[in-house]
Amino acid sequence: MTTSMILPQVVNGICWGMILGLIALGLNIIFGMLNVINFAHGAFYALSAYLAFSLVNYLHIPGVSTFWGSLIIVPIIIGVFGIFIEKVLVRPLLSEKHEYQLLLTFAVLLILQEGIAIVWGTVARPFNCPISLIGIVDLKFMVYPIYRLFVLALTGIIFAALWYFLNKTNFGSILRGGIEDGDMMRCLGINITLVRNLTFGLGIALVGVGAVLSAPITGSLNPQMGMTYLITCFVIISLGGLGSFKGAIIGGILIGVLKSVMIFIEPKASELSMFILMACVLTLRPRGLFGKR
Amino acid sequence: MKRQFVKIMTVLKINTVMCVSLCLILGVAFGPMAKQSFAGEETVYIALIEGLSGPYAYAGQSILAGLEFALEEANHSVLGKKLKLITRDNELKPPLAIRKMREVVRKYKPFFVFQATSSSVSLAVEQVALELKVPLFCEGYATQITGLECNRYTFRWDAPNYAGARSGLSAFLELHPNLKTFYIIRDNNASGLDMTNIQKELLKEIDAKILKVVVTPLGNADFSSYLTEIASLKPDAVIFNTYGSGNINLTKQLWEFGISKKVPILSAFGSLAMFRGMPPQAPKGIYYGLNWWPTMDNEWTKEFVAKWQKAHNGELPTDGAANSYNSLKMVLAVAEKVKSLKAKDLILGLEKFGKYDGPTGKEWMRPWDHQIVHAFLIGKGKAVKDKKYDDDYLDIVASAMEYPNTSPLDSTCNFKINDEDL
Repeated sequence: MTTSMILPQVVNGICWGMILGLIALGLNIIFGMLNVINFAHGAFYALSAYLAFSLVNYLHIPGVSTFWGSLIIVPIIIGVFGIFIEKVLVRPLLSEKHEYQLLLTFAVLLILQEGIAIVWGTVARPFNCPISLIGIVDLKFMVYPIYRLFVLALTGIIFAALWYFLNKTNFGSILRGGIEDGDMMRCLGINITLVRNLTFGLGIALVGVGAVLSAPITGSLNPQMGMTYLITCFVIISLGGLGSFKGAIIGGILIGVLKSVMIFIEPKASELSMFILMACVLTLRPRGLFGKR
Repeated sequence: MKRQFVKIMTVLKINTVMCVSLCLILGVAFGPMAKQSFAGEETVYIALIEGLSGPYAYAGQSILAGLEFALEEANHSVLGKKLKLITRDNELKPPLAIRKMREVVRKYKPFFVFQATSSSVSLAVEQVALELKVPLFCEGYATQITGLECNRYTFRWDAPNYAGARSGLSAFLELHPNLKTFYIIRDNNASGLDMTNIQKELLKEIDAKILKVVVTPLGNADFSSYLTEIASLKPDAVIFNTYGSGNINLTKQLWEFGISKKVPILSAFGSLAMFRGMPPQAPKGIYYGLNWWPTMDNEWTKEFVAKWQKAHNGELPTDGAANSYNSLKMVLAVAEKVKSLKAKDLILGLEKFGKYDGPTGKEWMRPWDHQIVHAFLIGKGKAVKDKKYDDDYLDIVASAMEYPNTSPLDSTCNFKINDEDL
């Protein structure tokens, strides 16, 4: 085994890890702000991918029914849907025990999953790469599809924009303050209910972006597709630290690289390896790599 | 406000009581009449316990479509009785398939059961068929379905892995005689393991080296790590034994990574239903093992394709549809011949079915293991510019028929043929 063999696996792992980090970040923001573990996150992921599929293949709206159109429209639609779900279903249970919230989000997961199966059917649907990004680039140490390099670049830009938004804007400060101490923010006259509502929408919108970006990589959509990502995302946020921005991204990249390299070393242990890493990190540092609580 | 609410509730209660009373009166009055009207037309059942959702749903839905088409043609009747199809989704989970098969057999007493995708499910349900004494057409690819694990109640049309691997890989090696190193990707299931083991034996015979065998979960979405490894290891050829959405994703990603341009690739399984889920450029240059293809030059195929296209707005049928259509037609033909729907009569009738004109031309129901013997095809993916119509994905480049258990004495299946003690 040489560096030239491992390096391509690392690059590939980072690419996949960035997408996972994006999806996990949505989950983490929601947990940080609302203290709700959103089991329905995987179903929002699947719903976003199916919405993009319909937009591209069936709606035929000029200028919108393209991959690029869906990359903008779908996160907005799913984000608004998230805001609605928070207002109607999640908010009334915010003051209740965690068990109720878990049951609620699990019910939303099942309803969305079955709803997808009813509307789009159970047969997997193909989702192709945009024609302008088809092809490969010779990176000298490996060849790599252009689309994946695009994903790498775009997720990097999204992370940078989100960091700026959370750290350098007023709303970002309020949001971070809300994560730290919601009651204090309320005392300062901030409408924390509205902030929570918008944060839930933002978390779900991030899933929307992740779903549209990953759909051409995974290639086909099925109603249960979100479950795989849900489990991986829980591992990522546990590893990176609950509620941590940095933790979700670094956790995502770590898991992506680990799985990718393990496929090279021992493919059968690839899935298992992420759980072992999580267990090791949590044993040594129960709040995760970057968690504060 | 409160008074209004109480008033509404009172009216609702009165209405509910009236409705329930009316239903009871109607039930008592017309119940016996309804029973009489149905008594004249006895209903018999067949059942499909299939993976209608999940990574193999492509195949499952095709099997269902073929059965429904054969039912339409039979006018939903057999031996003067109304014939109904009961379907259950087994979600590709053997324990669930067993439970659903037991439930359906107990409730509907179907005279024949069909199950197709996933060898793991097939191996599980064929034991239930034996236990419940209900005949079964079961189409998983694992060799042992009509080999070591065979029983008198189980029949199969699809070529077993042995035939698929031997016929497919032999033809592939004839087309590319200088291949020495191979990289194999397989599904993590009974069929993937079986197929890979048979290929390993064949590759050992020609002194080829297997660089690596990787096992992927069913319906795996991202194969990029394997593909970067293939690019590093530089094998002479790649073989993939994946099915359903896993096969679709892998074909697509092999094309995206530019590997299918450079390295000869053999996919053990191919199906029109799967090609429809890929970008049209993706299968170009890849070889696929096929049980059937709609452009085959034989009378059965021409007739079936013409009928299907007429009924489905010109759409071509898939191999799954051809398979289940053919299987149900065989069962109904035997039922009409032996004038019975009893398991024993149907099994003995099928064992005596012999040679017939089927989807791939001349086919043969082998009585000693209930395996139908037919040609196995190799197709090569076409370039988009060479396609004459949307579904024109492949050119058939080879055909072979290498089956195991070529005589009752060699057979690993040891039930007594034509024994009436069933």
